[in-house]
Amino acid sequence: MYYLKGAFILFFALFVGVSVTWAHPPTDMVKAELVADVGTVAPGTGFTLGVRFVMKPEWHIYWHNPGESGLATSIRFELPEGLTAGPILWPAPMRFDQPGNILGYGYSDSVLLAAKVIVKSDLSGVDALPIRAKTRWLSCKDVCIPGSADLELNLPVGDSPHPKDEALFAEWEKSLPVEAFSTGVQAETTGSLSTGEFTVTLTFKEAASRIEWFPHADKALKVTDISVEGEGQNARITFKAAAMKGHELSSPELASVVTYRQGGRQKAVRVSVPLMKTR
Amino acid sequence: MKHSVIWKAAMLGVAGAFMLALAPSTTPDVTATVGAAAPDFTLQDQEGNEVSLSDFSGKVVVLEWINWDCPFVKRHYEEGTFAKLAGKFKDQDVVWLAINTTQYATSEKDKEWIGQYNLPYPILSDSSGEVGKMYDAKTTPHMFIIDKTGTLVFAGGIDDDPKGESENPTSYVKKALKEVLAGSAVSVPESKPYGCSVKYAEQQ
Repeated sequence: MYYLKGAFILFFALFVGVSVTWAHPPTDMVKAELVADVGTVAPGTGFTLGVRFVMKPEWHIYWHNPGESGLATSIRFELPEGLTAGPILWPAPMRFDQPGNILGYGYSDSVLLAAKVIVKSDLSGVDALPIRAKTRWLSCKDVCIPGSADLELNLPVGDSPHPKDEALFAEWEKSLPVEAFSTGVQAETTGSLSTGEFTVTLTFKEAASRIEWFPHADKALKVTDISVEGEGQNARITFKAAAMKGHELSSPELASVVTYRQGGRQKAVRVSVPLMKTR
Repeated sequence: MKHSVIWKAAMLGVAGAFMLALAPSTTPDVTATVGAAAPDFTLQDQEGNEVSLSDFSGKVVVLEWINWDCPFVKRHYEEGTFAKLAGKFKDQDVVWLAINTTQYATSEKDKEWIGQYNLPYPILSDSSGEVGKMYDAKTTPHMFIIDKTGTLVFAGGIDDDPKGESENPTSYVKKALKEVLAGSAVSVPESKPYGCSVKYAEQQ
């Protein structure tokens, strides 16, 4: 019957249409830009290189642990000879509550994901450094749209670096989690995988509020029942963790980030939770 | 006589309504746990037929949480991941059921999806989220395998490759199905589920 054939052709056309649309999403929810904190690269120095993501209102992208859904944002730098980059340093994330209480960790408005780069002391004969970055993300609001970008930045080589975008990079530095002890935060952890229950007791020198806990991801570890109680100078984080059979734990400690508000400022510290304490 | 029957019926009706109003919310407390009996459910498929998990007792059942708007689901459908697995094991008494807990899903669109991808299995509608919550479905896709005795033996992500970049991903579902059909214990009963969050209806 022609009717069925017509319907089939329509479905096929829709399918092709959808695939083509998928490769080039109708509206870019996220703009990505490759940025450096110097305008010129001087041999024997270091600089910071990153990707700045700007999201449309209410759209977010994800932290390296996206939470219970989503996809970690990824960046792969392609650096010319003479430059070596360290790992991406991630600003403290925020928590999204999605319907069904499904946890998501990431960023909204904008975020800079950057790494420290060291420059070889001998760059003789090199006038310019072509830097590339391949980045992929998943942006979500009530639906999710994947995105990617191939970015380029050409930096000239010179005798002295010219600082650039100082405010942007200073904000980025301030947003990175720091070691707990360096900010006067005490963290005591108890628990082990044998009981499956863990506690992190936090003591702040100055009253803190809006305390949140963000575990790093480990594909072998199932973390559930996260609860944060208290504010002021004392808070308690409790959670359950179990090693999933058939997977290998990547570390005997669970790295995590605690974010809090103190003295009118948003702060973040790193806390490491040993998974196999015997006491 | 008629009047007294109507009166009694009305009283019962009022009493019943009163009790319902006092009853706690209908959200089930049951959460499926790997190693325990998989909770039964009854949902309608895209044609309106009622399908219960207990219809398939004695068979292996795979539950696949779906949302056609989700890029992870689209990628797997374009790669034929589920259709290939369903096809590979269909002659071994393995029943495949897709469950759509997306709150705005319609059976019309479920039918379109089935037509578009030539799916050999139904999509069950769970827009209220009741079955999703029973199984603690977090992502689309999120996979569950129930063995012939009705025990939940696997829950989690289909494989170890959320980005879809691996040349050779480990398919946890394929591995578990082989083990279940061979009568062995499932060596990897859980894996981190990945995908878009299940679009549950907002809490009442």
